Amino acid sequence: MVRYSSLDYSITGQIDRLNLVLRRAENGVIVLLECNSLPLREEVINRLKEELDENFKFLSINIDEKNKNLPGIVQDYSGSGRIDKKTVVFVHNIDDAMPEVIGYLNWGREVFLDLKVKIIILCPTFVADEIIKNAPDFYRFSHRITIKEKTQTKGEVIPSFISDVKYKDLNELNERIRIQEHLLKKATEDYKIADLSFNLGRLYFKKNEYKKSLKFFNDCLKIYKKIGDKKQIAATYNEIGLIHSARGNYPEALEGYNKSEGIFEKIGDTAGLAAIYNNIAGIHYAQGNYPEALKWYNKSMEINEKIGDTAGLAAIYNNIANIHYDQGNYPEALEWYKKDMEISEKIGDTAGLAATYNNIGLIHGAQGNYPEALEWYNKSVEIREKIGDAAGLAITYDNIGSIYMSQGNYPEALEWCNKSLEIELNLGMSHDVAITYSNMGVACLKNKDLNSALNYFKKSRDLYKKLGLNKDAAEVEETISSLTTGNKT
Amino acid sequence: MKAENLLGVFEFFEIKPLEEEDEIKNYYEKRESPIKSLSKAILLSKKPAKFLFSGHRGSGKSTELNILSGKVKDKYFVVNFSVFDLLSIHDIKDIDLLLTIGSEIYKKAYDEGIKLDKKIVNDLSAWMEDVTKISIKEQKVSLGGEAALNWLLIKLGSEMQTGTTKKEELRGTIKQRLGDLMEKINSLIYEVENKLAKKEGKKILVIIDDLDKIDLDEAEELFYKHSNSLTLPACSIVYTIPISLVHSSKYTQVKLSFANSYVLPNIRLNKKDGGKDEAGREILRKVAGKRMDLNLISGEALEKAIDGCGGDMFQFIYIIRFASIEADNKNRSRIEKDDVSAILVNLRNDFDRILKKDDYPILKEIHKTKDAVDGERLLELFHSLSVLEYLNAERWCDIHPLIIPLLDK
Repeated sequence: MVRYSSLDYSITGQIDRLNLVLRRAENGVIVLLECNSLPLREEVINRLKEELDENFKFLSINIDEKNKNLPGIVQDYSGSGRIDKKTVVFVHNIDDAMPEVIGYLNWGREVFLDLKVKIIILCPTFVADEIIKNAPDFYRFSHRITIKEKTQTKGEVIPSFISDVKYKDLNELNERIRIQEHLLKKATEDYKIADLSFNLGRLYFKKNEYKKSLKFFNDCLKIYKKIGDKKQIAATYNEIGLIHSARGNYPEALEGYNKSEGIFEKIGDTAGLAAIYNNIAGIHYAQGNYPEALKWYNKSMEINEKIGDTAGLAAIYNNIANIHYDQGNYPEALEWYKKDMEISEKIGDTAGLAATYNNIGLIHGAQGNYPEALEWYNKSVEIREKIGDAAGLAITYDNIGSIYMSQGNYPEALEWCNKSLEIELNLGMSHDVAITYSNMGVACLKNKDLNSALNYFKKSRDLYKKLGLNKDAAEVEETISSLTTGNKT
Repeated sequence: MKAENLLGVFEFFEIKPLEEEDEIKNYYEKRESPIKSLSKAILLSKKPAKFLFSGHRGSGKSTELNILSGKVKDKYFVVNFSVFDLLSIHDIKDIDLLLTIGSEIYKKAYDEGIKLDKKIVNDLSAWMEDVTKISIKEQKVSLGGEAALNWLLIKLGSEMQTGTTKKEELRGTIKQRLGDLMEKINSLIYEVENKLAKKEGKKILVIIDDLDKIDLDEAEELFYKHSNSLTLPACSIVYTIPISLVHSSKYTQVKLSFANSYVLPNIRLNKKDGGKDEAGREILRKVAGKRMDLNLISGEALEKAIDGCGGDMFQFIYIIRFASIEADNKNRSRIEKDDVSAILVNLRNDFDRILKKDDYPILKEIHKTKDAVDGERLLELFHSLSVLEYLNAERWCDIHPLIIPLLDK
């Protein structure tokens, strides 16, 4: 799901700050510019070049695997007279020099100070994190500026069901619902009513009819409790957690998972625990708490490896890849996606593949590789249309819109957002609706339609508030106030 | 009907479980058996329950299971099958069993002319076609939906028994869709029971025989690692299991997944203190008497056969059957002691071939203490019937009587 968060203005604000720092730093400065998206980095550099006065010169250094000694390289450049007090040095590709470059930075920090250079190291989140942890002496002397992506994106998480529903198309899904409802009407024994209700809960969940799904799960939960079927009680709590998670109700989702975890632990059901751990990790991921998410993914992975659950492993690989993606570590993310793809292709898990294709599209998008990104999105759409995965389609449509947005084709972007919005509203995916509204606001703004933009931003803010996602609401609010008070620079 | 001459002995001592109702009536001799408790447990279960049933090879389990079918048949639609007939005994996975359980329920319902809802048959057919890649359309004969599915399941059955590659592929596919498979199987169970409800209100009971013939490793894989899958079908099931699994350290854990487990004890011929157990011996005498005119065997020969079988019903029948050939060879009109001895020598040689040098100290110890403690090797000794367990009032073990002379070797 792509989300254009507080937008251009935060970029503008940060560029202003950067501008000021560079102008004032008579004795040089080290800036760690944390920014994951390659197109965005390009935009920042171009705008800096435009906005700094003519006295500044610019130099780009590309570190590569052969020479990872950044202080040494800078020293050489300086020695040959290519760097002086008016030079702004941009350092690219620092991720290729990991991890050795960290040591060079920490031990060679004096070089930068002595030479009084103005150096901007462009780095993805994961490198910035490494520097903070492992080059603390260097970091103390540097100035960290984070530029949030104009398109803040999240990889698509694959959740774990205790018993997943796989289906070819909507017809099959509808037919299966009809069969279960037919049998439910005739069922008289508790265990049958519970089992059939559980199935209906799963099937309606796949149709994204969350209200109905929740009703059936609550029905069967009551009976499972009555007949003391612990395993099924745990499975049902997991499903309830998944529904809340899909709707963005994270506290309720965690509540469901925790109940489920407690029972699985008591009855020693390790496969069940692996599923729950993955889902708990998903909540932490959704809330941006990556170390916590990784901790739970690893717990889940350990069990899945032990019990040989390959489908479970594929899902975890995808989800771990998402974390690396979010931290701008694209090669690492791609590697995990590939591991996932290998398994999913082998076991014919098309739904899983569709999510992974979508996520790989995101990586190419973040690298400014738009045609390739579109290619992966289309692969995902193809599967999702075939299996009737409307919720998945909404996500991928949104991502396709983001590509057009990046290319400056705002009307086309809006069109895809609308396609996505229609599905999300139909399926009651409130959280996604809030994100899409915000995205549409950006598209309208870029398209110089301030009124529509404000309208969408307000809708987005209100929905975030309603969902209790106050941080998101505040971010959108900031955008709204900057637009209405004319603070835009 | 029983044997009136030696030729008849060979015929009436056929080594197979008693199946038909009158067979059981004519030849079954009442013995200590858990079947009464098992049938009660099944009849009293309010929801589907899964049971384990074991006993030494040849102790008469299949006959007992056939008796069980008879006891519950008024309340249950019994689907009884042997894995020997439907699967490859050396390679059985949980998925195979689930598929076979579903298939056998459908086939039996089809054979008995139970008309199932079209929606369910079509959905099941489409799904089975998709996962098995067996196309019903390839069928030249145009069949109705029900018959076509029946054809598909029969074809699937023969592929499960032979094709290794295809079987692996199918397992891989279904493993990822276990939730869907169970939705299909349980929907089928509910639908069959709905149709039965209109007539007699019967529920489904599946009895799976001959699973006790699989290796211990495979049994542990199935009943320990995948016990969860085996309890998923929404009908009652009786699984036979190898006696060696009962002695395995994992058994306590295995039992937790099942409603209860039952062991058919061997017929006890001797007491723990070495004295003869007349009650047990009398059962075997009566078994012989039901199948032959007892004038066709000398008293000594009969006692020798009883001693030699160690309480194993299969071996008892086997010994007399082949002793009749020995006697006939010598133009005798009745089986004498040396005819029985000739068969016992062969059986003893079999043991001699199976047993390893290291086994003898263990066997000696068991013979002395009448007790068998845990150990990897011991499980194999149980599996080969070298060690027999007697579960009457008190549990004790002894080695097979035929092995005793080998101990001093």
